[in-house]
Amino acid sequence: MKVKILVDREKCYLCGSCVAVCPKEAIITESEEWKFFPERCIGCKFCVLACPVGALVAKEVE
Amino acid sequence: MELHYDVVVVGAGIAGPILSRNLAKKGYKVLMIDKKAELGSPKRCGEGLGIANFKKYDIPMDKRFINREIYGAAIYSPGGYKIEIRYDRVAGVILERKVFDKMLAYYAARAGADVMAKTEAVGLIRREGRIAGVKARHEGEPLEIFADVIVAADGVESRVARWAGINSFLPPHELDSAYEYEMIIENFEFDPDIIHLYFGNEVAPRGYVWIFPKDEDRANVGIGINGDNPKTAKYYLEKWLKENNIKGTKILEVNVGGVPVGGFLKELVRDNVVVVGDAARQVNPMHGGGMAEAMEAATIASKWIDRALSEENLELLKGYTDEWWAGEGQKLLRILKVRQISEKLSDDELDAAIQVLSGADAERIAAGDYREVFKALIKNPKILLKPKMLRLLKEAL
Repeated sequence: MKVKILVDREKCYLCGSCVAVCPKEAIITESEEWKFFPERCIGCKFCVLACPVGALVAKEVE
Repeated sequence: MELHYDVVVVGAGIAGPILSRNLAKKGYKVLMIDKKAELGSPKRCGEGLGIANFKKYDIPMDKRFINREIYGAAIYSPGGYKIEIRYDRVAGVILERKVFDKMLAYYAARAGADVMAKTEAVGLIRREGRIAGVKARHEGEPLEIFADVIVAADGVESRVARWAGINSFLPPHELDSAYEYEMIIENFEFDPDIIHLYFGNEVAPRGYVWIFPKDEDRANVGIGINGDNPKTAKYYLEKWLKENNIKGTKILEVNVGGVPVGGFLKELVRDNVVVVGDAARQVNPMHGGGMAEAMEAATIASKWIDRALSEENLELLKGYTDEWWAGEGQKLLRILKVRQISEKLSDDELDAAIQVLSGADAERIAAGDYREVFKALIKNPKILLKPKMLRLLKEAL
């Protein structure tokens, strides 16, 4: 299942937990920006689990 | 802009500045960059550091980054049993990381290193199939930093190691998802001269809640839980505060972070790229503290970078990998085994373990005198019948 990871920018602290647990470097955190690269995402949702504040959701896409 | 250095260090947390300072002192041309506009902030840390580390790693005890001296620790089981270890002398301190990190960078700069805040690494420079440096950006301006050695000290979200081809993927179970308030604690009894750790499967799955006092009424109150838990660290901390009637109405800081507690990088060096600290997952997997490990890694890595550069043989960098894995790395692997068993203990078993140990002389156990554990066990033979407990003891001793 292809998913798109969405971030709630109001909740995100750019702590990098999601980056560490991503097997495919589909997420990076820059100094002021959270970035997602959908073509690299394998839909494991590890990032959603690891987020300390629940700022990420996985939305299923076709 | 094009810059040339002997060593470029990406990340100015703990490992980065110690390593930069050590190499600058040896006379190397070092540049340390960090994506933060203000080094040390925001922090992702409980800020506790053992007192011995100051002398061991040659760090002055500057009052500007020491909030409070700590004399011991209390550990609480879910059923309310307690172990308290208290020393006559200072055992550790609660730091102010946003000052500490900046001062560590200052010591590096004073030793001769260049430091650039608000400068983010965006890739590696490759020339003729070799890694020749780091591409970076400062306020949108591209920089090319050429260096013989590149140090990845870029934290849990490290990208530099991955760029070099080292797989630093951390399985979510090997991450502690952490959330912390610096807050005023009212209507809740705690001794502000020791740290307090609360265990329990409902309190903090796999991890613990901590109170690290910065003042008599002000503390870092945080939690770490297994990173593959469907609930969030924030959920569990809020729950614990509520159950203990601690009002969250005087919150001075919110800190969020992921702590690597396993998944140690086997490969710490690839070509001329050296990985240290959280980026290399060099953290104590039992308590989640990584400052002392980062200092140790930086010390070993700087020694081998010095040798590799002075003897003009980059193969010598691998001496860091070997020395780490012969010493500190082995120790962390043993601690990981203990954690892997202890994380499976039920609340009843946690109660039993802490009950047994509270009957022992905790200070002597902390000092490595495990005869106390056996004395306590003889008084509580039931514990010995539990196979998990036996395995735990076997690994721990």
